[in-house]
This record gives sequence, structure tokens and C-alpha cells, in this order.
Amino acid sequence: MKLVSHKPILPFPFRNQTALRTLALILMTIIVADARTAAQDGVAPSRSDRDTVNSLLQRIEELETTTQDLKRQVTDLQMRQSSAAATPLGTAATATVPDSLPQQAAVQEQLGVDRFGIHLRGFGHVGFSATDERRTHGAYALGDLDLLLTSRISSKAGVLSEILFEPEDAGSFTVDVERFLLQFNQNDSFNVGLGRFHTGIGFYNSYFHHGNYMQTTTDRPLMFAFADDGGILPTGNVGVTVSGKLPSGRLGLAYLAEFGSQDTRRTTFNNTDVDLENGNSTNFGIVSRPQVWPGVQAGFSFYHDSVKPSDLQINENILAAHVVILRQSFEWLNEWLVIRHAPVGSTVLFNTPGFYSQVSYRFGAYRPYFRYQYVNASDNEPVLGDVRRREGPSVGVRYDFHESAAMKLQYDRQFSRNQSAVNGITGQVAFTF
Amino acid sequence: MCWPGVRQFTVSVMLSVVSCISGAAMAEAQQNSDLAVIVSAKNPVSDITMRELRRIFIGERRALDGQHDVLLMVPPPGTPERDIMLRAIYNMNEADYKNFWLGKKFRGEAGGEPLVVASKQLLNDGVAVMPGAVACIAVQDIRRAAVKILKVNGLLPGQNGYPVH
Repeated sequence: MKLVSHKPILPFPFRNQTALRTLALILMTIIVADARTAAQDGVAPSRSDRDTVNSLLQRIEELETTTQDLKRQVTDLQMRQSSAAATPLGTAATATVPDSLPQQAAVQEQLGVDRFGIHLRGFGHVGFSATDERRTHGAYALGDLDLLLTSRISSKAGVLSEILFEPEDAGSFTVDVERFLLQFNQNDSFNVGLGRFHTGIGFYNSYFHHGNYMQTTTDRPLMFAFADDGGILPTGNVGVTVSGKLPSGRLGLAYLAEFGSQDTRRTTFNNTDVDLENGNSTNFGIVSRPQVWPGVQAGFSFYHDSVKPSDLQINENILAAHVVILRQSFEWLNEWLVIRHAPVGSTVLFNTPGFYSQVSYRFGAYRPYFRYQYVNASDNEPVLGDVRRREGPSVGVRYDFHESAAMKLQYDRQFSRNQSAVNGITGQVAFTF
Repeated sequence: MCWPGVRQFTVSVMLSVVSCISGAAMAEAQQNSDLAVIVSAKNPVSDITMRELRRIFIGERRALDGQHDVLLMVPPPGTPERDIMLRAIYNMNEADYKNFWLGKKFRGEAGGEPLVVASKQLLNDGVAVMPGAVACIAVQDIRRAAVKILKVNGLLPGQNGYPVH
């Protein structure tokens, strides 16, 4: 059998091995040369690119050096500040260059310390109330629009003004300047106010004013209601008020002295207006805010005046006392007072006692509260006979749904002498702007 | 035979290193979260109790040195310094703080709120030149030697037990 070799059949020039090798070498040379050309054209850096990269690297190194220097300087400064803080206080600092007056004026100008403008805040409320009293029906009511204007006129003097727009029937408003006070704040121990102010009888009248938003409940306690709402106190006055702290250490005593004269125009529960034709009044008070019990305040006040609601001249003395706890979450207000009316030329005295206690606790945005109030005036009382005995509880909740607005819902039950109990409900949205 | 001993030694060394690092980090964090209370270097007061500091910041004490009315300078809302101030000194949130000062103005007890100063440089300058100025500021932001860090309860920022943090 003949074996057949399977040699590749090649064209003539490649049948020789040497010629084949030469051809392969030429082809490889061509391919490599072409690849180098391609690399030079598209990928590999040219000499100018290399220079750019080198300069960039050099720049990065310079920046790194600069950053290191800056870091070192910051560390040095911090160490110097720490050592300054650690040195005996008040010694190192005095070695600096004293600040010149123009420099001080420039800084104060930048800070706006000497710019005394008028600051305006507004308060308002709107609500719905209804009772089960006969011949009454529930109604929506627009509350007072209360504008508080304050202004500093110097570092120790300022003006405070509270202007009230009270809604009347048929959509009209009356304007009432409730407070208008020029204040001098000499120091912690001596502050003087001249003008119209709310009398410092008890706690509520000098702490809460007309802006309903500021108080927890929908209304003021009856004994501190404003005179034009049936209130029993001379809540406003025109004259001088002096207050300040007394040197008493941790007892935290403060004093209050007020002198003034303003007629109280009272709207009775019989819907009649009475001008009490007040004389010159004096009011003195002492309060204690013990430092060991933050938020606690106890005090009393004594108010003297004379009133003449008819032809009868009557001496009026009001003794009030309070103990309150006011903290961020917890609020407990307790006040008592006695109004003594002594008709001139008569031996008969009329004492009208009253008190209220209000407690509330805040749970987040909700603040449930409870209040019990009591006022008892004789039917024969020459000034407050229409008030009779009124007492009863109020329960409610305040919901602060916005940092400048709150919703309140309150239920009241009121007992009156010789009258059946009245239930009432009030919803209110109070706000500030 | 000696593997357990070596392992124990290694573990204890590692724990020591970790505790050292974490301790240093905590100390640094404490210092970073401490808020310095600064006054002018000319102010003679150097030490104050936390209770008195609170009384100053809530406007119950009108003069720190008995002569000059206090001018409070506080950080702007939304800053870490403001949060520390509200928590450590006022014990209030932002809304409570605003209502607190609104109430003070409403009752005629204060002419206005504390001055909000956003610029650290201006705050330093203001405290330096105004004898009654009192401000809260992070220690690393104190830039002028003409201001003085008050000790609170006898302690400076960064010291253990410093209360304003």
C-alpha cells in the first residue's frame, strides 16, 4: 500500500521554506510599524501633553503644600485659643489694643443696636359659642383685633401700646387704646411707666392682656373679665406704675406701686352700662419668685379707690392674693380676692369674694385644662348686685396646630343663685401675626 | 500550648486601643458640642453660675456687671449653636422660645428679643466693643482676644461637667 503525504499545495513562489519565512517577517514588520503609527496618532501622549501633565502634577504638589501650611496655621490658631482660654480669665484679654469709639459705633451700626423702630404684633381670634340658655342661639363671633406696638426710644426707655379693634353689631368696630405706656427701665430695682396700663391687681390682669392667643383658655376667669364684659374689677388705669426687685436674695421679692385715676365703665349682666366715676386709686403689691422653685410665684396686692355709681359715694378696697406655677408644660393658677364696698355714711359693708383655680398640662401640641371659678356678690351689693353668685367648672383642650395659631375647645357649666345651671360650649381659633 | 495566652493578650491590647480611640473621640466631641459664653474682656465678671446664666438669658437679670444693661446676642435659627443654647440654657424648642419672648414683649417686660447675629466675625466684634454684650458661640469660632470666655459653674468649655453643651 502506498502512503500518500498530505503536503499543502502552495503557489510557486512559496514552495520554498526560506522564501516563506522571509514573507512572514516582512508582513510582521509591516503590521508592527502600522500599529506604532496608529498608537502615535491616537493614544500615546505627545511631548507637549507630557509637559502639560508634568506642570499639572507640579501645581497639585504646590497646592498640597499650601493646604498643609494652612492646616498647620489653623491648628496653631486653635491651640493658641485653647491656651488663651485656659489662662486665668480676664488677664490675657486685657493685653489687646483698646477698641476705639468710632470702631464701637461702626460695629453697633452693623448690628443695628441703635436702630429704634416700631415693632408691631397682632393678635386675633374667631370662634363659635352656644349655650342651652333660653332665648339664645349659637353664633359665630369675630374676636378683637389686638395690635401691640412696642418701640425702644433709648437704651433705657421705650413705649408700649395696645390698640384694640372691638367688633360691634352690624360689622362695625370700635377702637380702644387699652395700654399706652412710656416706660423707663433704670435697673432691675426701678422701672417706671407713665400712661394707661392694666391694673396690677392679682396675677392674671398683669400677665394676660387682650390677645387670646397668649392665654390657655378661651376666656378670662370671670373675676378678671374686663369691665365691658361684665367684669367686677377696675382692670384699667391711667397714671404711674412703679415696679422693681427688692434685695431679698433667693426669695426673689419684687414690688409694685400704682397711682392713677380712670373711670371704669362697666357693662352689667343686665346689659346696662354703668359709669363708676372712680376717684384717685392706689395699688400696692408684693410678689415672690423664689429662685429655688423656677416658675413659682406668690403674692398679694391691695387696691384702694372710691366709686360713685349713683349719688352714693362708696369706698372700694380690693385685696387679692395668688400662688401660681408656670412652667413649659405645667400651669397651675390660683387666685383669691375680696372686693369690699363701704358706702360713705353707712355702717353696712359688702364683701364680694371670688377665686379661681386653673390647671393644665401640655402633651406635645395638646394642652388639656380644667378651671373652677367662683364669685359671690350680694343681691343688695350697690355696684356688683347683678353678678350674684356664679360658679362652675370649665374643661377644655388647647391644640397648638401651628407655632402662631391654636385651636381651643371649651365646655362650661355655670351655676347661678336663683337660676338654673347653664351649659355652654365654645370653639375658638386664636392666632398671632 | 501558649495560644490562649497570646490571644488574650492580643484581645486586651486591641480593646485598649479601641477604648483609647473612642475616649479621645468622645472628649473631642464633648469639646466640639460645648458652647462658650463670651463677654467683653473689659467685663469684670469671669465666673457665673448656670442659674444666673439662665436668669440673664430669660431677661430676669438686666445687668451682668451691675453697670451695663445686658445685650444678648444669639445664633440664628437652624444652627447647631442655637440648638445647644435652646436645650442647655432655655430648655425650650424654637416655638417655645419665640412665644416666650413674645410674652415678655406683650407684658412690657422686654423691649425686644435677643439680637440674632449670623456673622461670627460681627458677633466677636460686637462682644468685644460692647461692655454689656453676652453671647453664645462655638469655641472654635472665637476670633478676637478682646473677648473673654466666662466660666460657668467654675468650668470652661471642654472641661468635664461644663453645663452649656
